[in-house]
Amino acid sequence: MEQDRVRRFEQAAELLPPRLRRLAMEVPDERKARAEELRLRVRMPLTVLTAEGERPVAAADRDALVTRDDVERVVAGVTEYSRYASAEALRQGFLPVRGGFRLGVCGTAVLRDGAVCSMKDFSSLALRIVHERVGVGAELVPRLFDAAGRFRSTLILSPPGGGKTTLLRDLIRCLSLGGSDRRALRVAVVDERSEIAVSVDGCAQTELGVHTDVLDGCPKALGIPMVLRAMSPQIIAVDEITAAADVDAVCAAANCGVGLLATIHADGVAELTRKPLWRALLAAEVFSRAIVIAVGDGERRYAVEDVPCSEASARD
Amino acid sequence: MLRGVGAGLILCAALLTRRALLGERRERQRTRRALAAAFETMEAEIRLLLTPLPTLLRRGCGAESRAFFETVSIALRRGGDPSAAWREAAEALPLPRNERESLALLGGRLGGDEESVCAALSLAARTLRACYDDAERRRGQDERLTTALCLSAGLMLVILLI
Repeated sequence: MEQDRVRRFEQAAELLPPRLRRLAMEVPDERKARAEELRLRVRMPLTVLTAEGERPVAAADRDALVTRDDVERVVAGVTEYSRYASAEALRQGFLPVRGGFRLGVCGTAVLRDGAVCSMKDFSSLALRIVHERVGVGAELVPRLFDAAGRFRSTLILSPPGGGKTTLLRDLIRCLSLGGSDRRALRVAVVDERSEIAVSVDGCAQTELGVHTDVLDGCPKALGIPMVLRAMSPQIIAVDEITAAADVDAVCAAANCGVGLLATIHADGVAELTRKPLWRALLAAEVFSRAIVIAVGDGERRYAVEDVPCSEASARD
Repeated sequence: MLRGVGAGLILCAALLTRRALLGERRERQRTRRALAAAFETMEAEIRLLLTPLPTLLRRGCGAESRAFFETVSIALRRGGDPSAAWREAAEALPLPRNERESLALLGGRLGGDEESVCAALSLAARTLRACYDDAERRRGQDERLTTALCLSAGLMLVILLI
């Protein structure tokens, strides 16, 4: 496991310019294994982000400082010198990277008609090392089915950084592969921010099972009806429901008899009833199960709970 | 007899030179046409599908432009600077200096946004098409001139040597 994480770190370091790559490779294996991100800021040292915080890869000498050219080279390499092809992703502030990584970018936003149309003069990069935790959801999957063996639409809840996407990814894989006691299901993933499948050139860079169809880079509100029409899925999986349009699309899909699997930034089921958007979602009675992720002592604990649909409806 | 053979050989050499010159001209035309078509295809692919540069380079277009695109594609795969490779490949093209220079400039604009890349490709394609059309218009005249020059030079040499 640790060796695998070290290998992932080294793969991520390959994306850096040679000077910074050399420094990143010199990081002790124990720290490599715990690394979540590599962070580059112009005129600042290259740092490694772990659960304990951010630390520079080397003593702050001139060699360890990131230059504007370094940042531009990383972006150029990741976009394969085709910035136009990554314009939409750049507009949203991230780039999916071959190998299942993700590059968050920060710089000067280019505005047109009041909307961000591109990004220029990159100043900071966050190279996220996406760690797949294959099998993390396996024990939870049987609890997402009712007595008749039907999938119950499920929400995954946790605060930011709790591992929602990691769990979602593995649940998709488990549901798509099926098991000895349940058949495989067709899962459609609407991957608006390329975070679930991390698709590059149309190929998912993460393990999502053999019966999974991925619609990459498409807003959820548009993508859910598209996959519903085109792929006749049994389950639609989405990450981060944040807008009323997403809720409407999810409700429309649920009315067509499709199971839903989604994540939401929330501490627990109780918090869902406090925010208007989630109240609308609960009132629609789309989701009947929730997996709540609690993080403590560096460990993640998963609790499967019933979603109080009727209570929410009554309150509304 | 020997003089006759010598004169014949000189005239043959003149005709071969003519053939080589006309062959070079034809190759220039083929290169212009292939590159213009490739740039137009690239522009269309970028506008319609936002196809990334490595894929466009891999596909290339026509035998005449394949070497050019392969050079840049290899440099890109090795993590090199594609602009520099593009300039280098443009310098090796069998085209007049001014055309090679304008093609080399295009390499520096490939890293831009969709509009600027498409505009640069479109301009390069238009320039090459204009050069191609211009050369086609002058083809008869150029061929006659080349034939006349080669044969007269050969005949003059024959007369001088005899």
